Amino acid sequence: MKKFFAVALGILTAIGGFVDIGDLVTNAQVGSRFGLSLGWVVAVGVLGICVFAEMSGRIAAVSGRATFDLVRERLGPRMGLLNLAASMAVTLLTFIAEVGGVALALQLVSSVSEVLIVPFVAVLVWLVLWRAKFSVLENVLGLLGLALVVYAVALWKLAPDWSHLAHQWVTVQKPADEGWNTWAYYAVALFGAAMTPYEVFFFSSGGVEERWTVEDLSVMRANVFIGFPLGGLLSLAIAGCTAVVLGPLEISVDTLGQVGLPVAVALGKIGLAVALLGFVAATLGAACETGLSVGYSLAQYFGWQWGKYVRPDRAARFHVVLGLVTVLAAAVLVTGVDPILVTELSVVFSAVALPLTYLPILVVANDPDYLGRHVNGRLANTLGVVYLGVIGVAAAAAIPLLVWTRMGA
Amino acid sequence: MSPRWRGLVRAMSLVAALAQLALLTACAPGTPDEGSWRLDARHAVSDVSSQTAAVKLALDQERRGHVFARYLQTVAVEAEENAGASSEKFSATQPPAAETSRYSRVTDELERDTGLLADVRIAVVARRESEYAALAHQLAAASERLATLERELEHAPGAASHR
Amino acid sequence: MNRLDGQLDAVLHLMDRQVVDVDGLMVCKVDDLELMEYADHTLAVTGLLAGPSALIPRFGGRVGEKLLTQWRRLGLEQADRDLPWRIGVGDVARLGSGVELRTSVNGILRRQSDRPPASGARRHRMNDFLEMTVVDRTGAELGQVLDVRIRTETGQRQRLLLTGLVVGRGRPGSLLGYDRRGDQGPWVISRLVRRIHRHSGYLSWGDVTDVDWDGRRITAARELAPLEPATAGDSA
Repeated sequence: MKKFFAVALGILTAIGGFVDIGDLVTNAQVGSRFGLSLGWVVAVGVLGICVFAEMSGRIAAVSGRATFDLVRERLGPRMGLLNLAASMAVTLLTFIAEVGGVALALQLVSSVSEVLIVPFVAVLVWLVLWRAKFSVLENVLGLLGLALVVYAVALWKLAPDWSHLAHQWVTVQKPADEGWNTWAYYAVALFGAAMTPYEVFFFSSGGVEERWTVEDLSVMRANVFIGFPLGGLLSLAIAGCTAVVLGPLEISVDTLGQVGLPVAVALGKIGLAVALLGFVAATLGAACETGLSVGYSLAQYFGWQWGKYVRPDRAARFHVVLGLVTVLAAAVLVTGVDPILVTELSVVFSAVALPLTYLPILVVANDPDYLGRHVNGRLANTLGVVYLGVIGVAAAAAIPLLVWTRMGA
Repeated sequence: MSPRWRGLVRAMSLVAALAQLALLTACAPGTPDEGSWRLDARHAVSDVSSQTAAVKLALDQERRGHVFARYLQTVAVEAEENAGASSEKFSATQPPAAETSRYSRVTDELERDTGLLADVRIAVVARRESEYAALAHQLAAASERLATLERELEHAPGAASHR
Repeated sequence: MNRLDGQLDAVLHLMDRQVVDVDGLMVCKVDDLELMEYADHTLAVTGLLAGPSALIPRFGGRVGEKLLTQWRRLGLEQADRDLPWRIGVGDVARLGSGVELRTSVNGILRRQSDRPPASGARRHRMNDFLEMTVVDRTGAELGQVLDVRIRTETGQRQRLLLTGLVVGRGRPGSLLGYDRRGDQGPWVISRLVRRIHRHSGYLSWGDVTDVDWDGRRITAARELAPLEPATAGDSA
């Protein structure tokens, strides 16, 4: 029974933790402009993150090694350092976006300018990183993130023409007024939002934090293969809501307030309040995860003690990094840069950075030296290689599309 | 790495850098020609139109009691900011000779709507709920005008009439 | 599996691994290895090296040199600035996916000694040995040292005795391990990397006639043998 609850809790937090500011914004934008015609990208991205997270989770459970241990071991210190710099830059960008997202969500509640809220959010994030236990951080924010289920309820309440939505999804029906280049750009952005690299850094390092062993493999797989796809459904529900409510009005989403409007239309104040709770929890949770991920990557590359399972003074350098990145994020955001813009950039650069960590993980997941008899089976390898191709194409296309479409304008 | 491979890597990174540079110069022309000016104009109009529609939607929801006053306020403030930014950015572009008359029409329209969004924001912040119905009506009219303008901008000036 | 029970490849299985103490607390990375050259022509790994003065030279190239100068400049007054931290091979209890030590983290790291070792031995670093050019007796180039095969020798002082060299053309991807074992998936990557490294081979240490440290040149008496994976120990 206890085991059942553990599995259920893991799955629920995986669902609640799946959506972050990148998913919120990108899905809402894509929904309002393209309907569900890009829904297949969410499906592809979710399966991709399942494959990637399962491999890195398995490596963490069996060998106790997290992502950047492997990056340095398999690529050497030189390539590893370049990889670290690039991955950390993207994770930092995502961190800034998430902290800004928390501020935007709180702005919707208080109508105080987000620039004024940022310092408080930064202090809050730092306090959570410094004081809160890892399990508390993961479970409380993950469960509160489930509030975003309100989008699924809202979509159902809006009673759209389901067959039309399904038809749009299946037949990849691009709206006539959008070009194929913007369509491709948003496909890459959506893919990057679903497969953000920090999710894997956090997932594997979290596995090491919680001291997973071979016995935890089935629980880990349940979290990944049930939790992530259901989280992906939440993403689709957000896209569906904006497609139904904002699409016909030609509203192209560029503020978080607009993301919440469909819920208000469908469910009124109570629904909106729940959605706002979901925004705050999802972005705050992701802010903590990305902040930790920056610390994890750096500490794992240099071999410093990291993690929240030891006292902060034991992992002093790790905690100094956490403090510094929080200050940096706050400093960037108080310049008044639009967090939504940062978010849009972060999801695209996520797609660029993916192959850097994906390849070493795929290689080690096949190495009996690390995994013994738990190496990739035929299915995992087929999917792994297919996704290596998909990720490679997305990474190569991302920056040219960004320039060509002027960020999807 | 052996010297041969190092040379190859270096050559490849040079090619990549040049390709990137070529891409950048090809995609962001310094002075807009007529086609890209019209594209910029359409983007600016659709930006402002999107903000107008969003505020209209939020205002309607407020009248139904579906949003919090502070939420509406945030939506209105951000819409005004974003619309203002788009409108200003567009006014700062140099129109091609054939488009000067439409340039002033578009900028006038954008300024008018940004002004309307400011009126809405003022009413919303002051919680003057009695004005909401009239403002929603004006926003709807503005959306109509912007949609017409956006359609016109799909064609060169002469061809604008037969849509 | 404890790698120390059998053969291992120094770069593939030991370099850059995480070092943890007896309680699982993290100590450092294996940034480099101390390589001892004895009077009787044997080479052995005797210590793990850590710290910036071990890591930075491994970046190589101009960037590495610049970084190293910068690193020295930050502590000009320190006489031991260039000496890395060292952990003796004898302190290693087990080598799995990480290096597990016998003792607690407290005070485990000591500076590597800068006094010359006893009786004709010379101290080197693994990084200086790797990428040395390997030639046959006619002077024809066979490749460069990509990795070093070692095995534990328990004696008075535990050390990892060098038994052979992995020699290849220095192309990227050797660290992935596919050049040594063909049965590791995924098939596509394995085929690609093995094709890139098709010239790689194994050279037994007994067939090495001369090591010229200053000229960075190793002379071999025989051609390269086919490359087989290092055989791990029996204990599970």
